[in-house]
Amino acid sequence: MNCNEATKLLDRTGGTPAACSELAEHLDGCEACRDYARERRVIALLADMPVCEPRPGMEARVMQRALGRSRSAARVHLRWALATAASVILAVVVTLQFYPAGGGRNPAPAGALQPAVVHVTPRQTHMVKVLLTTPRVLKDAEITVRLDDNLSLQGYDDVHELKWRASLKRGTNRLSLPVQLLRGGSGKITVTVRHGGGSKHITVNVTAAPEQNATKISMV
Amino acid sequence: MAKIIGFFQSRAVREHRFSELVSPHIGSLYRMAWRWTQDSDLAEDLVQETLTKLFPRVDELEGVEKLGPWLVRVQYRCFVDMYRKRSRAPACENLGWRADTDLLDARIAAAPDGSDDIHRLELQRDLARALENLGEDQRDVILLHDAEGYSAGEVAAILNISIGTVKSRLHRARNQLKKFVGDGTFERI
Repeated sequence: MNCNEATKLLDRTGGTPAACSELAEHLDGCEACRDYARERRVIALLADMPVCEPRPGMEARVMQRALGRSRSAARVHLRWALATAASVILAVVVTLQFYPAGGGRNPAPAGALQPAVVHVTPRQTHMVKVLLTTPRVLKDAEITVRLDDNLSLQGYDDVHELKWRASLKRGTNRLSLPVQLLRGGSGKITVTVRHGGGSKHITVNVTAAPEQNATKISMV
Repeated sequence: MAKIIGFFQSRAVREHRFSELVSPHIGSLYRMAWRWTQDSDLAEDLVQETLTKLFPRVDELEGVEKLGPWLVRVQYRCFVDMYRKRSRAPACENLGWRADTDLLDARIAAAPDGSDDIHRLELQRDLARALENLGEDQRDVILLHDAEGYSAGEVAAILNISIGTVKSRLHRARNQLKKFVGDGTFERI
């Protein structure tokens, strides 16, 4: 088998060398064709790389929302809705360091991180995003969000503590909280993540801002 | 009153036209959005944002010859404006592209032991992680061209770069990814 025949066969088989013994033999002695086989294999694997299916009804949902028919419902979800130009994003970044028990590294420091402060206009909903950055996957972490009486979570009126379990991906995870400061003054949001016997807390102080200075952000 | 009724009729007609034009492409918009964001909720938001921006341009859409790549081009701009630029902000400095391998993990777990499927899925999982090491420019080209099958010309139009640049980025990116590929297996760096 020559190089021309080998590359044609590799094109047909997506770079799989085991497709034919003659090809395998040729590849053993030809670095250029081996390199070509690797490239074809990368391309074949990429072309077949699966995509996570959307939630059922995605097409109808995005169309409806795009046409402005169900915007209010869309904003209740506790997730990062990409901002429109008119919306307000207050981002708070938290780095979570959970180490495996007995892993030979310093144990996870329990307790609260330095509080963050966000300035908002009272009685208006602001999307406060807490970005939880973790160097590894945290499977089945327990997440708790507590709000002071002076704060309300859109879609969860009169609920001041939410608790659920979720897996946090390696890297940055986004928790979006559509929060309203009910009166003047301030209120406190506490987000707690528990995993593997360790826990981390982040406190966000939501404070009324003067009219001309609303939505100022102070970072952790 | 007639003017008001006419306004709503006009809007309904525009919505219908818009829906007919873009509905066949929503699936591929979602696929590309997921490849960029690696998150199904973010991908859905990105598609929604793209359609929201496009609705006022329904007349322009009707004149577009190849609507699929054109829509992805608009979506790419939305992605850059609303996600990537934000991820570069100091508040989000750790927000790099991270491969979501949950789907592949689940398929690997569900596949019979020792099957060819497992090997292929494991290779794809490693390749997905290898994509994290590419620069944004190279990854964009690879995802559009090799993963989603857009032609070099379409990728050039979507990313607003020359075809020559597309080809050179593809070449460099594949060379980078080949380092993870042994003769039939992957070797981690």
